[in-house]
Amino acid sequence: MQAHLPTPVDAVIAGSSGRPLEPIARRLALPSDPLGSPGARPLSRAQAMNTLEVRQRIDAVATSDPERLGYGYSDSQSPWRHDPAIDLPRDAWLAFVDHLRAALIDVKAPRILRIGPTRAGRSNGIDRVLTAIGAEVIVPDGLGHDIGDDGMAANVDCLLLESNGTFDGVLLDWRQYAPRVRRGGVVAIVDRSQELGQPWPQHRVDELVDAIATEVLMPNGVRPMRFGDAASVHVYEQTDGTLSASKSSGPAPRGNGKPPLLGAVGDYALYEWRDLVYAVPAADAPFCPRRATRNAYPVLLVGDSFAATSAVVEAFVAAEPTIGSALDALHDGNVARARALVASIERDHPDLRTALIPCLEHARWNKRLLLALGVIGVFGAYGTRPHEGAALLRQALRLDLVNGPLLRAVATAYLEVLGDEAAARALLEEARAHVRRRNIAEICHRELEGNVLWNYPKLVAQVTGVIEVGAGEGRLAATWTRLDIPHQVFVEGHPKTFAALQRRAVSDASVRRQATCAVVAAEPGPATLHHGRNLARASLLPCHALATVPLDDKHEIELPVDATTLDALLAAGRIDPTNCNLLYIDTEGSELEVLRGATELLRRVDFVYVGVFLHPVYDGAPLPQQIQSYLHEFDDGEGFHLCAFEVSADRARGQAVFRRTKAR
Amino acid sequence: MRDLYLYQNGTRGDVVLARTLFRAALASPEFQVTIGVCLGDDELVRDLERAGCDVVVSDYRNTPQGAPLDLEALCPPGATAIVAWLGGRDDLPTRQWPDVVDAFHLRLRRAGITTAIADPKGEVPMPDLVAAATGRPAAPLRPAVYLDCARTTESRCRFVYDLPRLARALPQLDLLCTTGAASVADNVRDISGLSWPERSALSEHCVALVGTTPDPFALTLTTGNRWKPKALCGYDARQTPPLWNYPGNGMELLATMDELVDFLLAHAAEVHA
Repeated sequence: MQAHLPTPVDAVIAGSSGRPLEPIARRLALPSDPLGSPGARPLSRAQAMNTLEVRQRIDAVATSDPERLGYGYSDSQSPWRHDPAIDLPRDAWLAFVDHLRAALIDVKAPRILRIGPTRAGRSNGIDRVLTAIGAEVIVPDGLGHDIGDDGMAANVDCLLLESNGTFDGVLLDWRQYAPRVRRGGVVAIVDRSQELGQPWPQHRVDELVDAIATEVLMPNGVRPMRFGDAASVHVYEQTDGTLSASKSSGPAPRGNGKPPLLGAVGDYALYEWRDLVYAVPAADAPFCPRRATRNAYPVLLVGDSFAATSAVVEAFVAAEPTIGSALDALHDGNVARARALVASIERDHPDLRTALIPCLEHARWNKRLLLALGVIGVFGAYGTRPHEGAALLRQALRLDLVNGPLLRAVATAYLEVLGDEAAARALLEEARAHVRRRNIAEICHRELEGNVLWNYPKLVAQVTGVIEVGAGEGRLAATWTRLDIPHQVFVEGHPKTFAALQRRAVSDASVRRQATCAVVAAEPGPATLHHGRNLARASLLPCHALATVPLDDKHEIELPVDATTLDALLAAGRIDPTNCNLLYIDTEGSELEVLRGATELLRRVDFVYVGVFLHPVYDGAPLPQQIQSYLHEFDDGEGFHLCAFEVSADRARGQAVFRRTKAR
Repeated sequence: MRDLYLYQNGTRGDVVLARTLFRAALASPEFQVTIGVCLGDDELVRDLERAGCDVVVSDYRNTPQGAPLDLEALCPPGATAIVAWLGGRDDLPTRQWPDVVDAFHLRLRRAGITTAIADPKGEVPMPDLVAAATGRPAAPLRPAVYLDCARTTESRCRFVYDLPRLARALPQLDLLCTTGAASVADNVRDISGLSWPERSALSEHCVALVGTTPDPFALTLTTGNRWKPKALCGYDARQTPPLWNYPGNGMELLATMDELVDFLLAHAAEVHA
């Protein structure tokens, strides 16, 4: 009897927007951003930009052009796909750029010599960032130490040295190019050696940096700085002493250390590395251990000798088309044919599985290996536990959960090969959740710009309902709905604003909306609502004497109101928090007072969003730390911890999100 | 008695930390425990197997990034599979015992089991990998420092050991190094050939314990080492809490070689004296 799932694969696939993820930076790019104009240097603008604006511009570069630059920073990549626009952690890179701008503040158009990899003819995100902040970036063709002295301009203001990530490569380039940095300039060395765990001896740029610090910098009274940790940028200021010492002093080279090419088998090139022989497609050669750790090869085969690896290559090449046919058969629901094909693989290549298992240990995220071992395993071939084979197929699917054909094949394997309906349902639920998270990420990036939640779609995906206090006219109502948050409760205190909110906050079949007009505080009683022409800035607190506010925001009207508390509204049934787990408070300075009057409601939510004030805007507004302390100590210390914080473009304000420390 | 299947999909160091959970579940009369591990990680739970639990071993070895497949796949029919999550509600585990217990109890409740296996506010147990050692290496002839220079992926950690400098600063101590650097100095000993349980046993003879990342340093967390001075190198102590913390924990987070030398001079040299 064939089991039927309530969530057909097609429905899951249809839930995906089907569109590629919309580049975030279309929303983030500044109107007159010169990113598309090579050579443009907005010098005065770059120098006039404050730190926050520069950081926003850098984020825009990092997310503007996934096809040509890659996407994001190195610390936001998936383990199975490493393609960042800026191959450094975000915090480290931003801190380095801040330092660079400060160090070269007197230079109108700083000249930066970058020695490092290019992107196979494509633009480099680091170059784009440096150009965007007003620098002239000089990038030689190829890697620095592969070219001679071509009369490149001397006396650059900064050297950014990435080289090829090896001890010798960086040393050679440092010797050649550090002397080109003028006195007072900046020498920066990128060190990623500890990023992937235990570094190989040939890749110990960390030891090189330490040796340069010990042998060259310290004796000349120069103290280097470091931005970042496992992946970092080491920076020092060029002096007369370091200028002359870098030409002659420093550690000795260690030797090339590249994995030697042993030969070729078919379309694969074989290399020796640390007592093993690795085979990679010749088109992707040479073999590099770092690239292997990054899952950069389409497939990686391993053996303990040339003969052994050759045998693996030949068996895999011969068997892979049949594996593909078996997968197609699963996709078509033809389990018998898939089983027969796997049996033929086991018959024709009795050692294939034994040979492929060590390969997976060296390439944990390799999709082709996961599929091969998964397909032959799920049918119990070679004595495999079928569920182990299915788990490998599921792992392959996790690399691309919107791959409809693969999803169908794996679901069929669970349902019709293993007879495990529960696992098949769980698989489809996982795929549906992934599609949902993807959609939510897209919506967050498109509609929540300026809100801290735009960068936390995973958090938003956990929200099932929201209680929005200080809801204003309900501008977020449609966004909550698109974010698949069907329970929405709005609280707004100003009668005029509430009237506009009521027009928006209408329930329908898919969304439960509730709106109530109330001013909330720590305790019930008479209060005054201060506002100007802009009702969105209405507050229980008057403007601070030192605050600089736009004319429309100036508090000119004082409206007497009767304040209540969220707990009182809850007790009176005026708000129904059922299925609501996010308390969203944006009340212009009185957030802490609102929280103090919501002790019962706080026990029913998992997330708390608050607007915070970093500069004086309202008289009596709490510091962010006061809100943090209150929430942390709530419920005898088992309250909420900070999980997201962003400063607004208006640096006086920010937003913080807190998460319940222990699950309810 | 309920059949419980426990597994940990992380690295070997995480499997070592998960031993505390495995032991606590095994001690409960309510459960018949089966543990699932990667190939080669069975040496990390051998003592638990002797104590009465079943161990199911995958055909796949663990990797520096963790298990290559979800070990839930090894769950025996009829058993309830619970992952031994190492604490916290985010993607990265906190590796603190109270969080580990809370996370486990939450998963038990979701599976309809209300049994509590430990008190999150009670004494923090140690993983005690030493109990899995089948052979005990000989105690060092001289007072020694356990020095684990190996590291795994940990974005917040960066450290470069200067072994010659340590050897010069501590001539009265042997440095038992796990990354095969015996040629560096006379008082540096290579213990890279020992298995993890053997290293754990050896660490109990040391006066101080120094490591880099939780994996593999977790193997030194034994009852015998509970009150010894310990250090993890390469962290900013303002941002990172001590690993597997408990009241009286002697663990320090050190950022530089200067701090490491000072730490060892202050603690190990004193003990030797």
